[in-house]
Amino acid sequence: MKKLIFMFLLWIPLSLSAQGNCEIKEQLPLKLMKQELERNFKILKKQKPPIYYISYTYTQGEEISVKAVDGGIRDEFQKPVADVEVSLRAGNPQMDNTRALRGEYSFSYGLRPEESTLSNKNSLDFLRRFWSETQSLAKDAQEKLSRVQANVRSRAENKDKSDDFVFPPLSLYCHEEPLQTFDLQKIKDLLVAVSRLTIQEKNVLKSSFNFSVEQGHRYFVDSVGTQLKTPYAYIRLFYSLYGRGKDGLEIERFNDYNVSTEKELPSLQQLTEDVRKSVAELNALAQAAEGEAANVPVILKGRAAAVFVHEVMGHRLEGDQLKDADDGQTLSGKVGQQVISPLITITADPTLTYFNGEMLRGAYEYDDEGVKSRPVVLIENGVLRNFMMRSTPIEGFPVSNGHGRKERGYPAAARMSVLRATASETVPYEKLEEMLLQEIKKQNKPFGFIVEDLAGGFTFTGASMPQSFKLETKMIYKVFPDGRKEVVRGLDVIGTPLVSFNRIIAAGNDDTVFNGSCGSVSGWVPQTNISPSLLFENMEFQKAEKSAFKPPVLPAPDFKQEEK
Amino acid sequence: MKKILLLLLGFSFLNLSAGSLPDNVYFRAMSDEMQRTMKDLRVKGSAKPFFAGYKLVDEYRHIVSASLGSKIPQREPHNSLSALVYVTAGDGQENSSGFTLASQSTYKGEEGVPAYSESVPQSYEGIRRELWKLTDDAYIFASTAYDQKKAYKKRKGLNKELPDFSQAKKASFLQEIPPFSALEEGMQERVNALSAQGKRLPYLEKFTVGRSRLQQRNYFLDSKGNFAQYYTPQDYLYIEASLRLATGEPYSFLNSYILPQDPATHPAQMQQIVEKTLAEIEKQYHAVREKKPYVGPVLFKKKAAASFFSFLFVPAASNTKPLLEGSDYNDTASGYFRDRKGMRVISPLFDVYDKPSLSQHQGKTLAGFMPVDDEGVKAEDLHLIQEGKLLAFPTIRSLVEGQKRSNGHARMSQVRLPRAGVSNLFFVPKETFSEKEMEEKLLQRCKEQELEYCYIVPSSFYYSTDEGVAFPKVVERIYTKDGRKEMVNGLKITGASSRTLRNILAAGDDTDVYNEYSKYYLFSTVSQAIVTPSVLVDEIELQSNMYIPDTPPVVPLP
Repeated sequence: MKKLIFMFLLWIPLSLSAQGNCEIKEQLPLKLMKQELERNFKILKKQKPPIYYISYTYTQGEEISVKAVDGGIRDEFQKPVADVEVSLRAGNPQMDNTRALRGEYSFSYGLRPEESTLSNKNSLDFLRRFWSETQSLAKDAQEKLSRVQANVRSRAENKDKSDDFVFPPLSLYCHEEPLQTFDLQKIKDLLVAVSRLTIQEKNVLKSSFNFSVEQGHRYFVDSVGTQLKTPYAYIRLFYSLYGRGKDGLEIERFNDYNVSTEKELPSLQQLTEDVRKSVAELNALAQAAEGEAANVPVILKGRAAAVFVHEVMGHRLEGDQLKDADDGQTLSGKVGQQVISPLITITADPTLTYFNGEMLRGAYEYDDEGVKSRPVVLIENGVLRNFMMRSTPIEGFPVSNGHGRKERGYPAAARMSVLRATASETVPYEKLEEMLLQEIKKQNKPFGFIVEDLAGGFTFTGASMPQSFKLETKMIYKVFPDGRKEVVRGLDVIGTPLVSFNRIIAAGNDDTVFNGSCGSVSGWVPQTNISPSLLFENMEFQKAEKSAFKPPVLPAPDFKQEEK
Repeated sequence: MKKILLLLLGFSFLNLSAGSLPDNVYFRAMSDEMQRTMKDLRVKGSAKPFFAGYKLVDEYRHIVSASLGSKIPQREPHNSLSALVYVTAGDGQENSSGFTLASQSTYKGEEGVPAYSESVPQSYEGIRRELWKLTDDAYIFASTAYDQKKAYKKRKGLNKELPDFSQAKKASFLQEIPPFSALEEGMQERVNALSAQGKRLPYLEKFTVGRSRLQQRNYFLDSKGNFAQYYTPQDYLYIEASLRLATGEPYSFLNSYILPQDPATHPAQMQQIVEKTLAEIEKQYHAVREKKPYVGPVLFKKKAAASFFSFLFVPAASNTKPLLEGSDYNDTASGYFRDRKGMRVISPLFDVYDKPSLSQHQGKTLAGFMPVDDEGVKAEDLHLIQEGKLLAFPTIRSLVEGQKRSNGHARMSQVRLPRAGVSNLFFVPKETFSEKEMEEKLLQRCKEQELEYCYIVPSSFYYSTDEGVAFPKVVERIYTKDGRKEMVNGLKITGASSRTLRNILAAGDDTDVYNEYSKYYLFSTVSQAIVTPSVLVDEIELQSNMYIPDTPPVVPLP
């Protein structure tokens, strides 16, 4: 307990120093949430077992989505958001209901949060939603705690002896931003116009052109006394094109634009150029020869490298992965040791909001457990230093570093924010390609690969499976020793994390941002990865799975011909 | 909103005449793709497409809701266009219809999705391309199913089957579709105020009042040139409440109420419904948990009577042509009316009709309105039951023994090929009784059976027809001795079967319309109306539902 109090005191001055632009006391949701939380906590903390920590979150804002396909609007909606969420813990910080049960399958899944709109005149429903959730979750937590206790008594001891919870530091912070308005008709016209570009493309079986907005404020209070109001805004335009070869192999191109305001959205001209480029790539893929299994030198270009770092190493640097005894814990006990190529440093920095003028989706001020965000060096010149932590400690890492994240309706987990890989030495990209050719020749290989685009496949982190990964290449070039390149298709990158990350031999100076959303144990969270292009001494490729279906028997309707 | 109205005006039709296809984007796209399908779609060595049906459903919605005076966020008025494509391969005598692998009762499209798309782009090109892909999926499945069906029939020696596709007269129906009107201005404030009335019951944890307006527009075209364009408007009020009963047990209430098509009557009706619901909840609040089993007469009041018929009558009258499932035992759940013509299948007190031609009854929308069925046959009104005896049953183009043609009751959904289904069922009693008389009859029957008390089921309920089990949330116990009533929960109906329909003793004079999605078409949008009075049924078995509630909350309500 002494240790807890000490840490608590240490953190207070840091957290209270943050500057906002509004007054907490003027925020009605915070006032009511605090009042209802305190009323519940006063009684529940005296229960047996006690509810020793509660947090309330209220998300107020709006969602907008527009989808255009083949010259028409396929779906559109605009909906206010007013979600009520409760999180609580039964037992005590040393052992509580959130502990994973050894040998028992458990999977947390999201539930649509209760909704209630708060007005100055009427707060009854708002209060009752929080009350109702609290009562129901308290019973669940108390029941789960008894299962945890039984599990601890009857199952093999867990190597990690750390507590299940560390109280987050007290924070008071109020930051608000006006909600943006959008000229939706203009955006719809833009999407419909570009969606027409693919109608007559014979290799485009399906397409989708989308605009989405999630914006608003998150109100957070907890039993420590934290009160937060923070804004969020995710504005995104993206499109995808799909096709299928005669052999059933599916091909795909995707592009997205993450912006801060409507003004930053691409113009019709820019979008048209990009879509045409994507169509050309899809056509090239449709004509391309099928790749063959190989173990050869490879460059993962910026975006592909960013996906690779995220999937293969990023997930293993999430603190929760080391807490669960049923997890593979690739990096357990390796702090201070060199785990990957000494060329590479990996950081998680949710305070980074822009990079090279590009908005970063993974940035935030406070995490979903009310902890202030901060940069963390995870791997420094190949040496493991830290993990992305939430308020669930692991051995050697007793406090959160602001990486407790979740989708609404899910419990929080330690998740990535803005994950950045940097290299201690870089070369211009052109030089990297020269180095690839040299490597191909040196190893006497018939070819190498340049992967321009990778999609998340999967990476096993559970102890019952090999610690391997399989990522789908979406745009890959076969490179011959004479420098000739040809598009190939149907290859997956496979391997294991420690081996593959130690095969990095050079990096470009072309840091590239890949914004996206990552779906994992705590739902989908906005996320950013930044990486330079990476040259690997070698990497293994295998043939990709194919669909059992052919392309449609008839060609797509030929509207131009029909008009004639 | 303006946008939606403008679009709609563009799609409405003047001078409609059934006979020629309407000139709108839906029919242009369906017709053009249909021609291409029937002319060119072939897989070498496989059976040709024989019949194709396209159905586009454009659904407009506007919902507003509030709980205890606070608005619940909802989407703005919006619409979504969905498409269903049905293809058979083979010929009129024998085709792919009516056959499915035992483990698979849906189309086997890519990604396991049926030949269905829930959101189709609102453009000619978008609709064409969606139909093109769905038709391909449906045809690939159909040609495969055709080969498998032939092999299966050969193995089983099923050679003298009736034709899979009987001929029918040309059918068409064209209805002018009015623009969709969003809910009236101020509706949000009105439901806020209605839901705030829930505050008078201090134990209500949630009291949601929702107002929903839907307009479902249907566009159908098949390869034989049959077509239909029609719509179904639906105006509802729904009420959802969460509370803990006086015993501390959690309890939830959910009910929806059809509002008449005349909006002028709505404000008064909505107020009346909310007041009645609050009174009902107040009564239910005092419900006590019962575990003791009961066998005896039960009065199913109003909406409960609709659930009763939906539970036991609808499955017997549906799917009257069994599917071949590629196994030794085929489609054991298909409706048994198919071979019971002339037999008494329900109490002689009733005549029963299925009237797909009606779009409303006494000012209320009938959800089962269907002028042309999903195989392009004019949907006929049927006199199903006369004085309890089966006269007819819904049929489709694939004939069953003793049937010469389809009566136009093929209904299709996202996960079902067209099969025989009901539309608007009317249960018409020979004699009716007032609510008071019905309760007196119930008590009389109780006395005859020397029962201390009997039960009344006051509201709709969930059920599982296969297991003969139904789950009324609460029932009302009425004591034989003095007519005293009390609310009871914790009981379920067991052992019920279509045989139970013969045990109806009396019917009320309170006939009303109850619209519902047919449970038999799992996950479907196939909707039906049941028009029925309250019914008194002999010999219903109730027993404990074995539910063990949580202890009450330790923190009092705010």
